[in-house]
Amino acid sequence: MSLEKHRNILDYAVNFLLRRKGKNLATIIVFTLVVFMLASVVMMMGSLKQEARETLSLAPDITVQKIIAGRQGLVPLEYASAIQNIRGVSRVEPRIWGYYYDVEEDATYTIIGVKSLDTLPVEVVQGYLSSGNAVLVGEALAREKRLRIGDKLILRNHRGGYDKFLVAGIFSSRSALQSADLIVMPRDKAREFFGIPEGYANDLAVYVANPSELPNIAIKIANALPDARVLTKEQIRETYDAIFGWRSGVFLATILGAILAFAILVWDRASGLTAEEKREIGILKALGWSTGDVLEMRTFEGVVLALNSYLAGIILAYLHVFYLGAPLLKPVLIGWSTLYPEFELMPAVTLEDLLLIFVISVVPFLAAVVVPSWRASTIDPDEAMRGI
Amino acid sequence: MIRCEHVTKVFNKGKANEVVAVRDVSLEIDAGEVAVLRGPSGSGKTTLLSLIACVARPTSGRVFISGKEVSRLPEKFLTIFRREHVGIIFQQFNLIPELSVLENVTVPLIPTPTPPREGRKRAVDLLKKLGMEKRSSFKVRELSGGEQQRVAIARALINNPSIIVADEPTAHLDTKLAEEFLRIMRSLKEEGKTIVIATHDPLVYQHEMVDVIFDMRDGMLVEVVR
Repeated sequence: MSLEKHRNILDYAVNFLLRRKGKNLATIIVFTLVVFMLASVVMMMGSLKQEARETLSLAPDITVQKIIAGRQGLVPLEYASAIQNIRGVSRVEPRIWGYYYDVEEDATYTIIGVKSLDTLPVEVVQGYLSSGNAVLVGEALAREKRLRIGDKLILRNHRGGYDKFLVAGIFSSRSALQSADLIVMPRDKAREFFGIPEGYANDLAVYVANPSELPNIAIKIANALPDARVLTKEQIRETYDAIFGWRSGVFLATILGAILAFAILVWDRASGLTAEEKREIGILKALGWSTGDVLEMRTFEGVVLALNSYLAGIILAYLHVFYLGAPLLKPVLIGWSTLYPEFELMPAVTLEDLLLIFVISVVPFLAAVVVPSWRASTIDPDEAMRGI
Repeated sequence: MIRCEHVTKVFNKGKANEVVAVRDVSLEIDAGEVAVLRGPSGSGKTTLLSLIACVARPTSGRVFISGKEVSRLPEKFLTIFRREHVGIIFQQFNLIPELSVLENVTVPLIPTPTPPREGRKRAVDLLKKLGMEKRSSFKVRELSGGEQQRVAIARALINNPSIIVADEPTAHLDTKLAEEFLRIMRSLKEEGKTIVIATHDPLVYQHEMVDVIFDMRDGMLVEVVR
């Protein structure tokens, strides 16, 4: 019996929304835009954090750098021997790596030297590998530079000359950030390419047997090597989170104006009930609608508007971030993007993200719809109609 | 049927703009009677009509309908009582412009368990009775004043109430349409409805169907003419 009544009220609410198309469409458009902006930022930051986590999962437990005059310098390989003697350290690997600026693409790549290319979990063409100048490139980078296996890759070395490399394999990674800018070559080649002298490395990758011992080992390394900067995986993760958190925070602050404008619109639309709307509530009450009936109708209206806008905003944000590559946000949230090759963001949307956006957008809107209507509908219909 | 005991209504009580709209009014209207609340603008007749129609509560005093004290009913029960027993015809008709004629007539049925099909049938029957069936799909803004009033009458009757209240029903009608309105009221009286009309139009209060006239001045009841 009462189900029929609720159906009647729902029908009336939906019918009424359709009859005020212009006004409601304007609300939906503004609401959708706000959800779109919020969701784009949240999705992009979520994805970047996910990328960072993926990257970190492959990072060494401890990274040791040498600091000279407050800046990073090359690490003597004797440091590796000193660290290897500390109890609990399972392995120390000197790393040769550096950045390479590609004038043609206006992008910066990361070149990493490894002991041997064929030990990597990448399908490589053995014939090319034996050439001595073989490199592996990231999938996204290969796409960007239109490279295929067997192609030549010419890079300008530290002396100003050009080194010719052969693409022996293209590796993919779950992390677009990793595969987008990576060139992997044998360690000796990398040393030669960057001009790093024998007996030195860029930094040392330290692996420990027992993760719970990691902080103690880090302290021991720092004590043993006073001019070294010792970074644990956890510290790097915190730095990533702080950077992304700060960037998204700054951006969210800049769109605060838009959110504020939305809040005013919401308040004006729903809350600041016009004399006409108040009168209408008075009429409905005079015709036998209870306060609960009026609130039910207004809530239905609000829910229909809010959910449509919310869903549209979320879908548009998803397409914007994960299909179009967030063209509206990348310049803001990835400040060094002009030096970074194009890469696709890995879809990473959590239920918490969706709930956060819901709480920020839909809940205040519904409150702004229901509360003033409740206030208008609790007074006598006569007073509501007179606008007293 | 309707009894008011020392009813007073004050707007904005305790504020600088306090207005005593109705002052210590007592009256009785029997079932099936046509009563007129007569008086100039600002005399309090519309406010008294609102108190009788249960759309406002007295600041003091008591209102009884069919022996039940409605002035102290909780909001929920007052709403149900108003829906089931009172049909209201507003001075400005108060139709909802976005809705069609038929939809306007069925608005009082929406918060009830009445199936939409049955509601529409009742509305169509009423519109037919009032000669408006061909206008049922029209928007109300496409109607003349007299037609809008007939829609308002149909809406007031949709729940088959025992009491009809009408506020200045002929204020926006020409003589011909006003007479048409009175003809409808007369037929409703013949059906046994109790009718209360607030007006200062002689065409209404001089009509032979009127049983009692309550003269209002400055919020007070100054004379009862039977």
